[in-house]
Amino acid sequence: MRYTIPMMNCAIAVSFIVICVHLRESNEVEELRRLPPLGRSMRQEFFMKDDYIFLNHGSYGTYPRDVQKGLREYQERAERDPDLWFRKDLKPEHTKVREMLAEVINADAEDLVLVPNTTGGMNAIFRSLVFAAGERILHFNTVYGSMGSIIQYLVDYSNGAISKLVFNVTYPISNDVFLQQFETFLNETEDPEQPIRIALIDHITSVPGVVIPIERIIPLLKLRNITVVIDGAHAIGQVPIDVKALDPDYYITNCHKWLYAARGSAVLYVAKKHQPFVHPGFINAGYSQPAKLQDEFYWTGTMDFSPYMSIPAALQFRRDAGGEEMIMQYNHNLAYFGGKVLASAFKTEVLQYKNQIGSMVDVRLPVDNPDNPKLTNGWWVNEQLTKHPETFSPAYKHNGRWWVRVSAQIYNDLSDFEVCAKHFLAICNELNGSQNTTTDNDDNPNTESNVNSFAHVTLFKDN
Amino acid sequence: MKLYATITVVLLVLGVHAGNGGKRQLPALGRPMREAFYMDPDFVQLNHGAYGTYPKVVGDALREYQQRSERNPDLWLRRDAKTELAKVRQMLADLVNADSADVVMVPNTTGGINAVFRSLVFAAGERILHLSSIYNSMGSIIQYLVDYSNGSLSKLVFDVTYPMSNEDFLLAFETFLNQTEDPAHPIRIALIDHITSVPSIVNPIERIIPMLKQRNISVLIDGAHAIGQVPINITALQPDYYVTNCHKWLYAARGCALLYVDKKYQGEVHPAQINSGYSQPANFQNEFFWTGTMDYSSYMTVPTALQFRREAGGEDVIMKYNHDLAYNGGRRMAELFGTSIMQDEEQIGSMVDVRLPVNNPDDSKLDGEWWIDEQLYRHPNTFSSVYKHNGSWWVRVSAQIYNDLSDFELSAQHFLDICNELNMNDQTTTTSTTTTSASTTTDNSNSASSNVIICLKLQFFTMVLVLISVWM
Repeated sequence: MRYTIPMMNCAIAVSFIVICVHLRESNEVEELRRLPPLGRSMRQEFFMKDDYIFLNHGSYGTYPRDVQKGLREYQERAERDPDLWFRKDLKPEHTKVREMLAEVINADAEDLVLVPNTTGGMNAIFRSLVFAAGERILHFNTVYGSMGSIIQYLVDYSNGAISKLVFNVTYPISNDVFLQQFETFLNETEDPEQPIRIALIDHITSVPGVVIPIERIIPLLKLRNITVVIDGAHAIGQVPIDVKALDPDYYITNCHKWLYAARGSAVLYVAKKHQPFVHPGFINAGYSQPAKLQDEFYWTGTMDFSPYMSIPAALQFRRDAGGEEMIMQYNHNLAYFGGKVLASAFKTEVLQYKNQIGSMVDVRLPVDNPDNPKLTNGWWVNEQLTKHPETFSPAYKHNGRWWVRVSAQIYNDLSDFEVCAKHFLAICNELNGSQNTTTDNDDNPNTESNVNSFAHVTLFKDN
Repeated sequence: MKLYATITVVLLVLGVHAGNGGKRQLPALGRPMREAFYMDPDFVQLNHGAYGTYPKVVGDALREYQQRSERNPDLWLRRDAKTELAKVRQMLADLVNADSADVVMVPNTTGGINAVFRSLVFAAGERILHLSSIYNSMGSIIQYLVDYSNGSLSKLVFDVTYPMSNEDFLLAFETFLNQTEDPAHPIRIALIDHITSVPSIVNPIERIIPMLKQRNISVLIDGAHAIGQVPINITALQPDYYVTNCHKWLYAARGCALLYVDKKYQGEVHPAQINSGYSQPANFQNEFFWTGTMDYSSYMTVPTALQFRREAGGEDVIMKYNHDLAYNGGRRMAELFGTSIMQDEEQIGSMVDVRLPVNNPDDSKLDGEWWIDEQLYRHPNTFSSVYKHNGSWWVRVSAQIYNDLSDFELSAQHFLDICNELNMNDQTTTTSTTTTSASTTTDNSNSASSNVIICLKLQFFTMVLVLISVWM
């Protein structure tokens, strides 16, 4: 009796299979697997909920099915025989991953190590430095929160010996003007008693999501004997990276953001001359004096290495989707045009110049009173997650005004930006307590004409 | 097509309900429990102590949480993760009898101990005390601090040699503390294992901690192996700091560990990965909550792991089963080797160390890697950690709820094969031909649980067939 129903199900399923096989053979279904074209149809390769418009890839990234498959395969493999995996098979696979990444960013594989995230890599760099009294650490005011904290921590524990130097940048500003201002600042703040030891510069700032011209900044700094750390957290998969051409002292980037690998996986580059001094945040049995980069960073305690192992699957997926250039171009164009849609709907402006846009665009929000005391970053998070959950993008204050940073990805298209526009108009209208309601295209000729003209732009190639 | 699928699924659901009466039953402790885990059927896992492993239900929970975060990353990481993490901390705090405000999650013990040590601000001349049996990475952390202190810090090592009873250890340790006392070089902090890794000794920390605190020495307990293997009572023990891995003996997914910091030190402790939660003084929970973007799913598997352990019989039942098996299994192996086990019974949690029958321990080809390669490539049916201590080679064998005595006999045979080859010895030990009959394990698989398993397998098989046909 116990087995009757399951057996019946079995029988039905088997006959089901027979029917399907027959139909399949008669239809001669195409065997080769093809990814959908870039755009809305690519959503099916990812996991986001159907009714959710994902426009915030920049914060935490996400990964497609293929990568999840890779992730799970490695997780299960580790449980089948943990000793074989951790003591033997892991190392060669780990090396292969570094070699693949080395090709992507044009560096030597032996100068790269895998770390769980940019925060970890940055701690390794900064906490390994031995400063001389009076030295200074340079960074921009747009430094990412946690990186600023690392620098603050070093200053706090230095007993007054080191200090920081902050360059204030205010957007919108073109790259040329920015570089002029920066060079002037470096000249004006020069002080032989307080040399700048090291500078932390973003490749792509987080908020605002601006692509920085580091190929021009790095030489500026190195000429002055300043060590250069590039926080490229957002960079890999969003913009091309050529470490050998850029020649920074340190470079760090998250693979789990724009490269579609699983969380947490990041890669740290350390120029050979600094390697004997760099130790990870988690000192471990690989510690030695002088340091050997690969030994120091390989095993920072027992962990799940599967996210690192998901990188090859991520790279393969990106090849299948059309390749790095195609993905980056699609995302860039979508961010650019999407930003215009938002600016038009809000009757405001985009923060970036076109050459400052990777796959993220920042648009000023139509907030009547930016100094409204209830407005905090957290307030915007809460409003969206609880009252307008159909989409989410981070809002923040810069230069006295509120902006929203929207990410474009291969699973997005322009209609997603229209949803985003309506979403923030609704929030801002409530906030402003204003009677302006309509966001419909019919009533807003600017938006309509923009949308129509963009519809003619080919944002992706048909397969 | 979809209609057929729907009908089949509906029938399946009814079938599941009728088939096993709704209630899930775990297999009995011992061989049958293997089914609940992932290990290869022809591999005998006797090294749980090294990396741990987790049952399939925990694997399911891991995947569920990973999937959930991808459905809406912002909702999960900005809001829901914090609430769920607080629940996890509360469960673990209850288990170790601490305040949940005094515990934080860290990725592993190495991370937790780095946080404690790298947060310390030493005065010139101070010393750091540890036992010679310290785990290698923790020894490296201390060495790192000494190296970068410009000579102002030094370490003090108490040599331990096993076998040694806990009583003898405590006497020797107290003598050592008295003899090395030096007001010009006060011992600032001591790192003591709750359960040493190799050799695996359960240390009497309930007596060591007061000894140290009386002398104004801060106490950091490396309990990497402890949770799930022995009971932990932080409120009774009163260490200054305590770290333990949930992914070892508690069946959570890797990496998942717990750090306890006494309230009086929380203002000074920062994680190894400084982040935007940093402040002066430190706010403990803020400092450790977000150490960079990561997958929190491993932390989220703790509730499922704890639930599994309850269903398997509960903490006491599991610990007793493992302890008895380790003790009896170890003695059986020693019998078959003609050697002895290292521990007194009170020094055994779920791991036992047995001296290997190696004729020439100083053979120059013998090192850690040699024993690893021999096992993984030439005798791959099982694996246990082998190490040298006090001039002899020892094997550390872990007992778990998926093991029984026959596994220990198999391990004995495995090592006898290796050692005999090594010894190039003709005499065949008589025990090599009589392995399985001495098993004292009762056949615990009752018909009810195996019926359930067959039922579930049929359901699963049917589901797979349906899915295949839908995809086609």
